[in-house]
Amino acid sequence: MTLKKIYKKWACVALTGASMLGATIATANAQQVFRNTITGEELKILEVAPKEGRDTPAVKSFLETGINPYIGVKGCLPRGEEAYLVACSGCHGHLGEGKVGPGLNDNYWTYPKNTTDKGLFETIFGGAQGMMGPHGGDLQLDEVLALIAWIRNLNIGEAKDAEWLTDAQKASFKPFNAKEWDGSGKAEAAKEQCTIPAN
Amino acid sequence: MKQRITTSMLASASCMAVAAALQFAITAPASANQKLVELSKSNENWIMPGRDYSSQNYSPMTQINVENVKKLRTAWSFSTGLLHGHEGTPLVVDGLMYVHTSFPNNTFALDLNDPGHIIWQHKPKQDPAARSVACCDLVNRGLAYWPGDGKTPALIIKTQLDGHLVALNAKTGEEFWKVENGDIKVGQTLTQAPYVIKDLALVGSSGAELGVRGHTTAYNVKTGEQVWRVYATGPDSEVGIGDDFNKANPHYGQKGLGTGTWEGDAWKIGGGTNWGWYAYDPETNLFHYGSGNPAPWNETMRPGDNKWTMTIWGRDADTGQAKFGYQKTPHDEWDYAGVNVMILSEQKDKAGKMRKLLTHPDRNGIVYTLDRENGDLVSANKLDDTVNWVKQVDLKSGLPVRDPEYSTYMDHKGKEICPSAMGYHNQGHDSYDPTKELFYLGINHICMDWEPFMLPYRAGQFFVGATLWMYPGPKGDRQNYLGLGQIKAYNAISGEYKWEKMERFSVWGGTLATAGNLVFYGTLDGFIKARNSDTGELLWKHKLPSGVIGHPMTFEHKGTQYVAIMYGVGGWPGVGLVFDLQDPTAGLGAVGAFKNLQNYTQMGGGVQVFSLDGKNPYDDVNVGEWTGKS
Repeated sequence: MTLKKIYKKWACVALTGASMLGATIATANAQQVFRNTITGEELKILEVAPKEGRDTPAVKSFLETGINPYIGVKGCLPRGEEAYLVACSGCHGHLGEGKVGPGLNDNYWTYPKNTTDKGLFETIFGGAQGMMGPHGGDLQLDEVLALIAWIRNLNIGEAKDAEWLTDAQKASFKPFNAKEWDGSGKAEAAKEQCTIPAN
Repeated sequence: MKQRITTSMLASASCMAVAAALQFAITAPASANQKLVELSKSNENWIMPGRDYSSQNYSPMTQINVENVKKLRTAWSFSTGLLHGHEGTPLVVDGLMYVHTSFPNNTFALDLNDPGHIIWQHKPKQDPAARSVACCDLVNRGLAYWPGDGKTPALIIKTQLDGHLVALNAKTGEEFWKVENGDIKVGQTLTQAPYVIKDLALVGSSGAELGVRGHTTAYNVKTGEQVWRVYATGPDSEVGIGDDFNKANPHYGQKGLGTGTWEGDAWKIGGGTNWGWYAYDPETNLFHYGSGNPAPWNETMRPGDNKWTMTIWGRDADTGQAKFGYQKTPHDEWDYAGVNVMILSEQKDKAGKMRKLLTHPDRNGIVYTLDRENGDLVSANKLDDTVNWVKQVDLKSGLPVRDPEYSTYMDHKGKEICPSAMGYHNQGHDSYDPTKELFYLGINHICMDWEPFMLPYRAGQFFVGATLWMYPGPKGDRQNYLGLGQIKAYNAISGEYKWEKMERFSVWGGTLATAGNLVFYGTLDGFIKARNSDTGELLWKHKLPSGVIGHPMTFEHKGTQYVAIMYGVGGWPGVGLVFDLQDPTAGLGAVGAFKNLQNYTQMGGGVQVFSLDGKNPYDDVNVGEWTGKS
């Protein structure tokens, strides 16, 4: 960035300072910068996302840290599955096996950054190539986090390559089993809350 | 009488203006239409995707013929600068070529005297969210032309993926009007080539994969105001069904079926969009098109016949009211969307009676021929003997006789179903040679396994509910995923195929027939080919920069016959090409059949134009040179 551009940017911030301040407070000091997967442009998350589902503890935490607190939270899976079926399954397949879009249930990712919560969020929110248009305007932020948790849950790859899992999560990782999920898993998960784990 | 008023008031200039306006309003529609019909007769024009209202894609030109086609060479070419699918064909009018593109749906006007010069370009800014509600790649099928009437300039009408219909000044490219035909927030997109009849711009809709309720709409071509809209499903008043509907064939169904053949309100999200090709007969004033698949794909979620999806229509052009409607695939179980091309012909039937016909190679693997005046079924034959979901079509009842082995339903994986959801014929714009009474059909040779699943409806999101595995049909090579297409010459009266040839991939884009005894078509792996239209013998081919999903056209300019074709692989068969080669799952499901395509071609759109010995405007090397400031 040239000096001239930096100067311009600061001038702009000064001019719009009042409104910026409002936005900053509302998002509890969002520190992460989210970028479009293809162009690298900064995503204007709060200008685009639906009003509902913005102020949950999980969204606030995610925007600050880039870590999705819903990963591995059973109670979020039914919500994530529903969002997946309506927004993703048409192209990526019922179980993430791939259809007119690439598969999402293995450890190979067209965009390497999708192995991180933040990267996958950016691809969903801002879109990528071709038919992968932006979904930032039609999915609530909290829903996207549940959705990412579901996509991770669909995984049938090997835990050691699953960069999005913590060591503890890797240790307890089980590849997705559709029969088990439809049989009892889903009903059990529905009984639990979709909240950030206590610790 | 109008004429008398006009002449008797010649003395008053202001009164004359009033009278002129009056006359304009009453007589202009017919004259604009006549002008379009006249323009389409000239070999120097190609004013709609199917050349003229009959949609025959047939040119009487003979300069390029079976004897000399080997001498076809590139005359000039033009890159659109865009990736993704380029379907349809360019238009040529008054010395300009109009080129459309995939999303973001740019339009270019090129000067045929100096095609290196872009006369104007229109590059709309669209909401990128439209991309994620497109069904199958980011295609567009072309443009419509309205010739102007002295008061309103000649217009190019185009669709945008984000659901807008736009009219441009044909000479300058300036936006003349723009209307929202559908809302992408509920999944309504546009990919179709609009269609001009008289002073109306007609357009269908896309988005059945998202539970959109399909409609056809007519706009006043001068103002963009909506004149009428009819739906594929719902109450008769909204479908455009009146008292004389299906009078000649009451067994096709008549009243109350747009709601009565659905459970509850399911018709409101029941699909039946139409994004294929239209045809029109100025004598009957009927236009013809097919409505598409019901939504969702999972048939268990929508009991009933689901009328009037999957229907061949004959509708009055002025009002949209339906004279007949024939549903080909009641209660679809395979996504055999019935939107394919309608080709009009006049032929003697088996009894020797001259009839006005329409012929329609359907996704479901049957090629239908109807009497286009009343909807009578004249013939219905398999596009290939490997079609298996249907044993035959009963010409008396109009119903397909199904083979239950190839039905689809919940908790069952249907196997070896032919054709696949892509159909044995998809959106390709085919051709008809009236001197030979042969249709030249580009065919997909693909079968599938199909497993449904349940899902909720949510506005603006995919509403499909089925997992598919596609692979070559029985005549192809299933080990190597090759042998996915055919090209055939079909006689609609005898039901016989005069010749047929296999292709490595689908012949997705359609065909062009000429009086030079030739049939031209493009292939997915990027060849344009010419065959002897009598025998099918391959006479010439040329490798293009990218695969073809559009159809060729031909025109004459300054005494030279040119053949033009758009390249730019994509569409449903090409969606896998946006993935990278290393992804092991890229290529599963619908893409699977075409997983080998990436080894033959890559994306990138444009137009290539051919002539004998490559004759072109730059043979005079001074043409297009910059000669310094004047």
